[in-house]
Amino acid sequence: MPRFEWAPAAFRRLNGLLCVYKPADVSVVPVLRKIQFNLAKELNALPCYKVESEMRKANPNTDFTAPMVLDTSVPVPAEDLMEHRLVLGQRYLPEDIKLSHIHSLSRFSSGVLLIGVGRGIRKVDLLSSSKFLRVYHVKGRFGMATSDFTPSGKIIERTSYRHIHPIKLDKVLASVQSSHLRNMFHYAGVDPHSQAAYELAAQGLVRPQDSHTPPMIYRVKCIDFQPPDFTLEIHAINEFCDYFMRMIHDIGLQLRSTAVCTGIRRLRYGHFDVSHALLRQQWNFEDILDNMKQNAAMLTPDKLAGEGIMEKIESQESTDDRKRIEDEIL
Amino acid sequence: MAALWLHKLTCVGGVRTRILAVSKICCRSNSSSILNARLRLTCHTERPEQERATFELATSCPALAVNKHTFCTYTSCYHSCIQSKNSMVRCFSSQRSVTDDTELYSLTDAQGLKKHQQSQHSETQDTGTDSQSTGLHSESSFESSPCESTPVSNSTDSQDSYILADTVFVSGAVQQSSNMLDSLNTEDPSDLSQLTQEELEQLKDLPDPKPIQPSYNLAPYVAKSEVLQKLVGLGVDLSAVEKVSDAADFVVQANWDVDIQPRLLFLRDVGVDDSQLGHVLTKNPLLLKEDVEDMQMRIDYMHSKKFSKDEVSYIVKKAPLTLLLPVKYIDKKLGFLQTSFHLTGDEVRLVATKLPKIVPWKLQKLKDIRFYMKEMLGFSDKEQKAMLLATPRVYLSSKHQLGERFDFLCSTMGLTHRHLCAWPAVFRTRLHILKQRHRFLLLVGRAQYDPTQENYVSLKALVSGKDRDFCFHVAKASTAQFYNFLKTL
Repeated sequence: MPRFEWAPAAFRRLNGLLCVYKPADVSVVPVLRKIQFNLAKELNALPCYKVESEMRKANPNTDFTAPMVLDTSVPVPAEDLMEHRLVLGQRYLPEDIKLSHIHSLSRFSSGVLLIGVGRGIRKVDLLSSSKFLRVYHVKGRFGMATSDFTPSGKIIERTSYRHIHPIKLDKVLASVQSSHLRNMFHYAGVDPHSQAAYELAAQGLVRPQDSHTPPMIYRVKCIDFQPPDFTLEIHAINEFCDYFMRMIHDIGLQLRSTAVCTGIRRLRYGHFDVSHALLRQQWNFEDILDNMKQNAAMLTPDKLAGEGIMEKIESQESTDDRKRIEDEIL
Repeated sequence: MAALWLHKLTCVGGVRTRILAVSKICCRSNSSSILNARLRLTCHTERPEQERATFELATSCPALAVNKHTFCTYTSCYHSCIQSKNSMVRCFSSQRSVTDDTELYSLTDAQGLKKHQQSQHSETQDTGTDSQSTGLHSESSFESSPCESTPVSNSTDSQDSYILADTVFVSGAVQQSSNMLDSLNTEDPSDLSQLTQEELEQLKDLPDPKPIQPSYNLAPYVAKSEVLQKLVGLGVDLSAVEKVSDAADFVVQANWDVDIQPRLLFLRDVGVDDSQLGHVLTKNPLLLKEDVEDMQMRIDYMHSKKFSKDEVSYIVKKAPLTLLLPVKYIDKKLGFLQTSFHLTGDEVRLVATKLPKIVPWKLQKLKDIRFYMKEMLGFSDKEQKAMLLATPRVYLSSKHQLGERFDFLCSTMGLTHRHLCAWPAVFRTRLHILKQRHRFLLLVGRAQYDPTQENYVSLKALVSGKDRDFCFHVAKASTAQFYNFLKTL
């Protein structure tokens, strides 16, 4: 890392919100562990102990992760020897880097995943209560039904799908969308015919009142249809990946056929797009720092939605101040 | 964590010694690993005529996962003389959480002091030694006092509002000797101004006490142990040594001339470079316990099997555990490689030198992988021999790893055994790299793996090299295109 000369200084910068592209076939926990591992590895490659910062000044190319031999011509006093990598070990362990993700993605799905890092974890609650709209591309395939709604499950049924026309598919999707939109105000906790409902609607998107409502789907559209494969674009809040799999299965049934879900990909989480997301190759210290800096611009109060958000931000800030003072002493 | 204590210390009322500076904090803390903090605190007492006390707190404390308030410390207190009116020494020496087992020992608390005096006097009576050793005894009784003295509850310490759960602090260290105790046996036991100048001098001259409690790591002992200092000077990573069971205990009590020096000389004779001695000891600290003759026997065996000196020293350097293996074991391993894969003597030596790790590797694991490759994946003996000689590391993989890669390579990419034998290292490549690159080549229309056709992409070209090299040389596209593609998967 050319930007840093001293590991604790680098560690102190690791606070913020990270936007990551979660690969498919990997659960969220291994993703977090990998990021922790990478960050700790890079931090430990920098001078972590006082002796080492002097060693680096003498020779800028010293590798602190390689087995080192002390220079016996320069006697080190015993007290200083206690604070040495060979005695205390690596200064940063992966567990030292605190990560907390928002709205998990299943192992099967891929896409944008937001992770709070260090002090950024305090933003995680704020963001989830903001109820950002999520956009997914859900891929399906007609012709079979399996035990776990994926192509790799045990096949239960095979059906024909040649009768399925894109217009029929659009009809089914439109009915799915309208049935969800009918519940929109109910999930928001208001009577659809009341003044409160009107005011909510006038403000923009009517979001569910909390995270415990059923999934609210605002839009379902088929963007690609190459029989037997098809892709749906879904805009939703309070959704979960299993729900989409079941939805694909139900769509198959409604079209007098069967379908399995071949992929789920989260394109967008509120303001955070796939273009903001870091790929696995980019899960290194400097790219992560740059990403966090970029994301900070999208965490201003005007970008966060939801009721009582200003009170929440104010209460956050007061706790933030107290914690910042404590952290600074550390 | 260390500074958090500092913050709270300065706020606590009634503490006569104030922490004015924290000169060194080396702290590595988190919820699940061992906290290793070392503070050097410079304290001034409020009485200007008294000594400045410098003491070190070497602590190792496991910070428990859930509640940051519960952590316990091992303190090895280095006493110097501080006398202040209400100075108290609290040594938290429980082995479990503070809330469970903490026993406080307050020297100026009347109740506690009486008990201490009683135990002191009983000690002196028992041993009948002179004052100097009594001084030492007092230390030892002081050391052991946390186990013996009564726990001082919070309610008795009304004047000093210590927040026990959060903090460990040494507000003042009082060096006890029997003389001092006698002088303290006054109306106000905490008034130490009655001590004469001589007695103060005496206290200063008393040697440092031994560390009180066992430690979780070797750090507190490094400053005191020459053996450890020399080992660190060689480059031995003590933090790795202490992870090996029994190694840390042995090393702390080791004698350099008897235990360590002979083995270092032995390693040098084997051919290990001086700069590599530390590395070898780090990877295999238990060789310091092993008999030199036994280790020499193993080296002699290797020489008898026509391994050259350089080869043996390389194997010892790369797989130091070999020195602990019985000769029978090494023989069995090499014998298995020779018979199972039909290798010549030279080839066995080649494999052992190419991958020294295979010598201490579990024999059953090797057998399992050999069986799996033959029966499940369908590689012939000839093919397996070629793979072993090219990349022996393939035989260190797990069955799951081999199976999933084989499945993708053959079912999805359409490759055959012949292709895989040409570059066996593909079994050691991560599956996602294979998948990403193959799919990108499909997109750009360059997924051609048949060597007889044009635009052939070898497996080696596919999996080795960074993304940039792959994109430029193989896919003939830009890295940006590749990354954009990856975001569509």
